[in-house]
Amino acid sequence: MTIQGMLIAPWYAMRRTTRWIVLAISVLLAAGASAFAIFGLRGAEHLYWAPVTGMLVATGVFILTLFALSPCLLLAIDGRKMRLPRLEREASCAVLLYGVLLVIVPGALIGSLGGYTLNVMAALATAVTAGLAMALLPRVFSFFIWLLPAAFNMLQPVFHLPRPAEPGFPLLAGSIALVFALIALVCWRRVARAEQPFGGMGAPMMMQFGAATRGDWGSWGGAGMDPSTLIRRNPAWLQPRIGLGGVFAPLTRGGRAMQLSIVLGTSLFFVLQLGVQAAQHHAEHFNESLVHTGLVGMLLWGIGFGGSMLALLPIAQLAQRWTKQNAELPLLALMPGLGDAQDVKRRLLCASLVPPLAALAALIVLAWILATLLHASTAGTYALVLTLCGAMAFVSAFVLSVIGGRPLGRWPSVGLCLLGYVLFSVGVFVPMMSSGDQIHSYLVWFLGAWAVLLALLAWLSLRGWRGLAQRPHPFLANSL
Amino acid sequence: MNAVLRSINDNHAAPLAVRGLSHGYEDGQVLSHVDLAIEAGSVLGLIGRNGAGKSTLIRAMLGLLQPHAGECTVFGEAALKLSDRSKARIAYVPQQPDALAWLSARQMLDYVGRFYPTWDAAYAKTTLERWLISPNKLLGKLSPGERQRVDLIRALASRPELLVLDEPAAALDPVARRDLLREIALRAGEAGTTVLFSTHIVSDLERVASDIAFLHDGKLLLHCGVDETKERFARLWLPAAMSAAAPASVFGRHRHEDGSLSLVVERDASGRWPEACALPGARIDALGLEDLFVEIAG
Repeated sequence: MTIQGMLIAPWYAMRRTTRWIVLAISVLLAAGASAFAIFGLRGAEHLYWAPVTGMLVATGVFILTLFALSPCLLLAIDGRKMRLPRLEREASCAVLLYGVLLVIVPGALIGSLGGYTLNVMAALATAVTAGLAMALLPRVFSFFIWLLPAAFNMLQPVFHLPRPAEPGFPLLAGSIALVFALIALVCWRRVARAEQPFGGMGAPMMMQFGAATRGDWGSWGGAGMDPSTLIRRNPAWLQPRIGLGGVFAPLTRGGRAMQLSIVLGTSLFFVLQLGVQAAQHHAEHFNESLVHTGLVGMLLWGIGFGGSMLALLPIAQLAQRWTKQNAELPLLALMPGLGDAQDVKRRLLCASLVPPLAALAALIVLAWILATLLHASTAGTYALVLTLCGAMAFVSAFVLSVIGGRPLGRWPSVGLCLLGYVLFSVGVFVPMMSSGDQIHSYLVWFLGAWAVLLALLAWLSLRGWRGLAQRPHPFLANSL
Repeated sequence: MNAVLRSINDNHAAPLAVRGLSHGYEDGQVLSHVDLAIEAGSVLGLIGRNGAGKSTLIRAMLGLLQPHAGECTVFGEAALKLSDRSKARIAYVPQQPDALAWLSARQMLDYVGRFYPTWDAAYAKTTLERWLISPNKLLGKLSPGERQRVDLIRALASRPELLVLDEPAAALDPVARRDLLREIALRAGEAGTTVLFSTHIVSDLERVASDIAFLHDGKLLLHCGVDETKERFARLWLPAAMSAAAPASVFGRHRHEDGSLSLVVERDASGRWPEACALPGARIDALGLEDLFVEIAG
């Protein structure tokens, strides 16, 4: 076992694309944390500079551990299977080494500048162990770790839990870190010694990071993943059944209810959180505040986020379908009874566009009715409707470009999605802006950016439409 | 009247034909000026090394990709614009089939069967049972061999007039491979089904193919009857002293360490071997199909 081997292990364990994404995220987070610490809090003299900066850095450390450190498990599995105990030991020790460094180095640096050394280190230790536990737990359970910060916010006022700048925080965070560390250790040993560590429902979350994806849309919650891979991973009750599969498949009532229960269950959690926070701030009007703040928050964020997902899932699935030459495309291309080329194109457009557009349209109507009933602000309602209309434009443009044989490349697609996400996120904050000239100038920029995005999507739609018109039939695979 | 004319035209058109077919991907040319026509009722084995362009040729022939140049027809119709009538007569099994992974074998066969007028549901059911494939298991959870067999059942149950199989035996065990070959021979012999299949396994080809096509580096090197190859081609060995007299146009040429030369030679139109075969010390050896493949493609 060498120190060089331990230092280089995470780099070798990561996929090439993940390395650059992790590097970019780390740089962005470090720059963001520095900028916030310098300009937002006006330097280390600020009373809460150290805890706030520590929490920001802890977020970055969590992501680093999740994506960069956990793949060392793959090296450890390889080492065990190839009877290379040194490789297995180096991979395991690399996690320990980097884990300790990620706690001590930033903790000591922040602590020396702004104090609260123990608090910051405890927060960092929690981030490291939580990242590891999330990566190593089976994905069914690891999802719940995302909810823990929200759960802390919800429970903190009820149980008077110490906040990051309070003296009791190191003990609380340290205990949580210890629990996560034990979970990570047990999971690591279980997976590293398993006969079949890569498959089944018990496979850790991090196995998804290396899953074979097609169509440049990555996993997107499984939508862009190869259906065979997805089928092997999913429990029976989550499997779509008919037709184009995935989100296009008509489900039974039971299946639809099961899907809705997952969405509603998660949403309910956030509503509860918002409600508890509202009750804390307006204890005298507990009931009204709970309902109003919770539901309006859900309306803005949940419907916007749900709409975005409704747009992305069918795009990712179609992009995946149109890259495989040995799957549905040849079957559909040679299937009789679908009519001539024009009929086939028309039917395919209907099958791929109508379900997501209808769902988004229904969401707009629902959002409008709820906004009216709950007296949401006009600006917020319009921003939400704009987001959902944008999602409809996204679906139309990308579906046409995929079926038309002119799919957008990986990075332009990422750029467009990022622009859309930024505008959606900004839209959520529109109702919080103060009125007057300031909001007017913000709105000009906001609407201008939307106009640019919609223009780009219109161009993409036109390009796809022309491509589709020129294709002899639509079931021709797109090159990767 | 039109129906009668169309029927006559269909009967005369080759089930599959390509003329001047060229295609390539970003990393280079895959097919180069390929001409090939398959006679009705024949079983054509398409053979070539990995990357020779077999799958690309098959997909272009069926209109599953738009070639850079050339013309592909299926039953006389442009492959890229097939009518429902022609589609109903074709069945294709891709290499490592991966379609409709979210359906069970029974659901997939039921779904696909609805589109084919000549669908044989009883055959699909009994063959699933005979091949010991669980009808209620999701396709995505089947092994590659089971998946390939389900797709073969799907193709055969539609009672096609043209059956195209891309490496059909690649994932099959020896028993399943024998079953498949028997089924192909039966279909071709009794129902007159035209079959095109690509393979690496020369013994499979010898067992069922009536014709053979060698594809090498995107070029069709030869297309003839399987029995004909044994009569038409041979290995000529020339001693070092006579190697200068070797014919220029041959399929394979290999010089040994002692300077002697091995060549694959072909009879001319009148059935004679090249003149070099009569040289003193020259030796003619019969070539099996596998030897011929290795000599040409090796």
